[in-house]
Amino acid sequence: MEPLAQTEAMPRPGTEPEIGFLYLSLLLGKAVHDAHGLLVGQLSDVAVSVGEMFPPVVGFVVQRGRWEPFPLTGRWADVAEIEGPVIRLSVGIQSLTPSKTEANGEVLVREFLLDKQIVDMSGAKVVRVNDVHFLKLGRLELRLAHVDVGTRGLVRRMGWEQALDALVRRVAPHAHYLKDERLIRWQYVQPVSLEPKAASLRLSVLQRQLSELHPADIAEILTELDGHERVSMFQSLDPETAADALAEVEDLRIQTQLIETVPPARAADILEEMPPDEAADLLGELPEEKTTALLKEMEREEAEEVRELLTYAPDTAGGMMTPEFVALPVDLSVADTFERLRQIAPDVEAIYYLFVVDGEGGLVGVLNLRHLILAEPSAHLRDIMIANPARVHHTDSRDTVAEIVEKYDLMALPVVDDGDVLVGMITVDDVVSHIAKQAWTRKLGR
Amino acid sequence: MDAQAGALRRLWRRRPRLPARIALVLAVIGPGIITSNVDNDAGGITTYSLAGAQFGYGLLWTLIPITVALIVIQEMCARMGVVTGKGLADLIREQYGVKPTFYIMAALLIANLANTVAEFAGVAAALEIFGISKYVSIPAAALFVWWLIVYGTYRRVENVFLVACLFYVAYLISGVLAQPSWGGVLVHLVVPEFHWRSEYLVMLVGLVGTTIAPWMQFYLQSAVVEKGVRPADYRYARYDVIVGSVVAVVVAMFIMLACAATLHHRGIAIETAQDAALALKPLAGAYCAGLFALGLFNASLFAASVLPLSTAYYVCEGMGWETGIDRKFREAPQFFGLYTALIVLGGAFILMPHFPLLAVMYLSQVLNGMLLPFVLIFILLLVNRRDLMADQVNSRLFNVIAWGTSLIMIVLTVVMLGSVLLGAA
Repeated sequence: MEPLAQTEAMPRPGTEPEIGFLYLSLLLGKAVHDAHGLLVGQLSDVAVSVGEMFPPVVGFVVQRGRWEPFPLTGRWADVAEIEGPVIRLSVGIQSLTPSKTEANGEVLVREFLLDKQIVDMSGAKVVRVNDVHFLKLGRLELRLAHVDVGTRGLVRRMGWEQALDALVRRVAPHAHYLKDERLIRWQYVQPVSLEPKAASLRLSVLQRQLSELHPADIAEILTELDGHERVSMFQSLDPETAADALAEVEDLRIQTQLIETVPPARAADILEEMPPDEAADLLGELPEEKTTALLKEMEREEAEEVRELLTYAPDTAGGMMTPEFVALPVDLSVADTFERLRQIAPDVEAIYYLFVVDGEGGLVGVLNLRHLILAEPSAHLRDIMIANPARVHHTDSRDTVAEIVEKYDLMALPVVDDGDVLVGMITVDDVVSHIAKQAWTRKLGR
Repeated sequence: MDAQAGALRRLWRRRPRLPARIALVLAVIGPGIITSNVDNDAGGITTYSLAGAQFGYGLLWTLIPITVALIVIQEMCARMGVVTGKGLADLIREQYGVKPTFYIMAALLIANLANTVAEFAGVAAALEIFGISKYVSIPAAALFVWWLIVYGTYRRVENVFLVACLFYVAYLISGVLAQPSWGGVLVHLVVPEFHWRSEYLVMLVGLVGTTIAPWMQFYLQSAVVEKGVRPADYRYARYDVIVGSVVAVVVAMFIMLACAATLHHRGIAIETAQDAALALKPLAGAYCAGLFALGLFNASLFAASVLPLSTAYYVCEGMGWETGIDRKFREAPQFFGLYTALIVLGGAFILMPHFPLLAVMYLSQVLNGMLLPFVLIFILLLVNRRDLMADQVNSRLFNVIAWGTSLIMIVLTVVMLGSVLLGAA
C-alpha cells in the first residue's frame, strides 16, 4: 500500500479540475467508506471494461483488513466521491459482493496489468507495466489511457517520487529525468498474459494489430517473452502470421518449443504455411514419432515436399535446398513465360531466378527476370538463357555450396540429382550464415 | 541469449537425429548439474578448504542436512520454472509488486558483488601461485570476461568449464591418498557436534551460504525456463537437480576431507592460497600448488563471467529494464551499467594493496548464507500458491524442510551476529 503522503499529489477538493490525469498507484490503498461512513477497507483494484478505445473504470475491489481472505467487489457507479485519501460510496457495505470475479469483458487492472509484461506495439518490444494512467473525464469518470513503463513510474511505485523530484530539481533543474515520462497509449498495448479467463474474446481487436507487425518483430517479441507467455501469444496468432514469425525465430530451441506446444492440427497448418526447407529443418529436430504424426496431419502436397527434403542428409545441398522453384521448358516463348509466371508465382518463394529444363527435367539453363523483361516477347527461352549454369549435386557438402555461391555471386543455386534432373534450389540467404560462420571461424582461428 | 549467439546456434542445428528418449533426457538435463558445478567456485573451494583445515572432520555432519535442503530448494525452483514458465525475479515482481522486488534485488546485487569480488580474488590468488602479479592478472581477467560476453561465446566456455570440473577428482584422489581414518569420517558424517564459538557459527553460515547460494535459485529457474522443459518431462529435470546437488556436495565433502586429513591433521592453518593448495600434496606432491592453482583459476574465471551477467539479467528483468548483450548501451543502460559496474568494482577491490583475498572469498559466502532465508521465504510463498502452481504446490514434507531451513538460517545468523559483535566488544 502507498503511504498517505502520496495522496498529496492528488489535486485538493474544490480546486479539483474536472478533467485531468490520475495514476493507479495513487488510487490504490485509499480508504473506502460506505454510505453510512463505515470503513470498508482499502481499495485494492479497479476493473475496466475493455473493447472501447479508452476503457472506462466500471468496478472496484476493496481489501478488508490484512487477514480477511475475501475482498469485496462493487460497481464504480456506486462511488460518490474521491476526496484526498478517502473514497466514499453512495451505498451500504451490504450491497458489495464478496468476491473478485469480474463480469464478461472486464479486466482487473492491478491483477492483470500492473507489474506484468506487455507488448508495446508502437515500439515492437516487450516492456513491464510500472503504473497505469487514467484519464479523468468527469468528476468520477476514469478511463484507462496509458500504461507507464518508465523509470518515473517505478520511482512513484516505490513511494519516492516527491522526494526524488525535489532532490533532482535542486541538483539539476533541467534533468532529463523530470520530463522522462514513458507512457504508452492503451491502443498500442498488447497484454500478453490476460490468461486464462476468456482472453481471446476481449483481445480480438488487439490481436489483429499484432499480426500487422513485421514477422521479424513478432519473432523478436516471442523470443523476449517468458515460456508460457511466449506460447500463449504464439497460439493466438493466425496460422499464416505464426508461420512467418516462426520462420524468423532464430533460436531453434524456441522454434521447436513453440511448434510442440500447439495442437497437432494447428501445428500442421502452420508448417504448411512455412517455406518447405524451413519446415523440414524444424521437423528434423523433433522426435521421430512427432514428425511422422505432424506430416500425417499436413496437406498431402506440402507434406510430400517436406518428407522428400527430410530424406536428404542435413549437411548436404539436398538438405539445404527448397523444392519450390520455377522450372520452365526450353522452347517456351517469352510472352508465354510471363503468362506462366503470373499463375505460379504466388506459390513460389523466389522468382528472380528461373531455371530452364529439357523434356526430362534436366537442367539446361538459367535466366533472371532482367533477361526476361529485356527480351523480345516472341523470343524463346533457349535464345536468351545462360546455358550450362553452375549447379551442385544434392550430395555436395555445405562448404561446396558456399564456395560456388561465393565464386559466381549467385542469388540462387540449382540442385540436381544423379540424372542431372533439377530437384531444388538453394537461395543465397540459406548460405550467407554458413559463409559468415566460416569467416568467423577463420577470424578466431578455431 | 543474443542475436549473434542465436545465429550461431542456427548454424549448428543440423545434428544427427538421436532416439527420441535420449534426445529428451539431454534436452532436459543440464541446468541442475551446471548450477551445482558453478557453485563450487572460488568462494566454495575456499570455504570448504577452511572448514576442513580449521575444524577437521568436525563439520562433516552438516553436509547431509545441507544436501537435503539443497535438493529441496533447487527442486522447488526448477518446478516453479517448469510450471509457471517464468524466472524467479519475474515471479516475485508479478506477484508481490515492485517494492519487495526492489529490496530483494538490491540485496542480491550486494551479495553478488561480494561474490564477484570473491571470483576475482580467486583469479588473483591462483595466478599469484604462479608468480603473476594481481595488477596484471585482474585487468586481464576482467577484460577477458568482457570479451566473452561481447562475442557471445560463453556457452562454449561453459563446456570447457564442465570438462575442467574433472579437476575436482584431484581432491577425491588426494583425500583417499591421505589415508584418513574412514571410521572417524563415517562417525563425523552422521553424529552432529555443535559449538557456540563464533568462528564455528560463522563457518556454519558460510558453509550453508556457499552450498545453497541465493543466486543459484535465480540462475537455475531461469535456466529451466530457457530450456523450455514441459511439465510432462519434469521428472528428468528433477533427476538433474538431484544428481547435480549430490555431486556438488560430494565434491565439497572431499575438499573438506582432503584439507582435514592433510592440513588440520598437521595443525597447518590456511592463510594464503598456497596453504590451501597443500591439501593436494598426497596426490600431486611438489606439483600440488600448480594443480590447485589451475583448478581455482578455472572455477573463478568461469564464475566471474557467469555471475555478473546473470545478476544483471535478473535485476533488469525484475525491474522491467531492457536486457540483452546484443543491445546498444543506450538501449539498455541499466543492464550494461550493472554488468560493467559488477566487473569493474569486482576487479577494483582486489587491486587495493594488501587486500585480504582469502578472507573476502570466505566472507562473501557468509553473506550468501545471511541472505538465503529471505530469498527462500519468497520462493516458499510462491511455490505454495495454488493459482500459480495448481496441483504442483509443495508437499508438506518439502514445506517442513524448506521453512525449517529458513528458520534455522535466521536463528544462526542472529546468533552468529550476536556472538561476533559480543566477541568484538
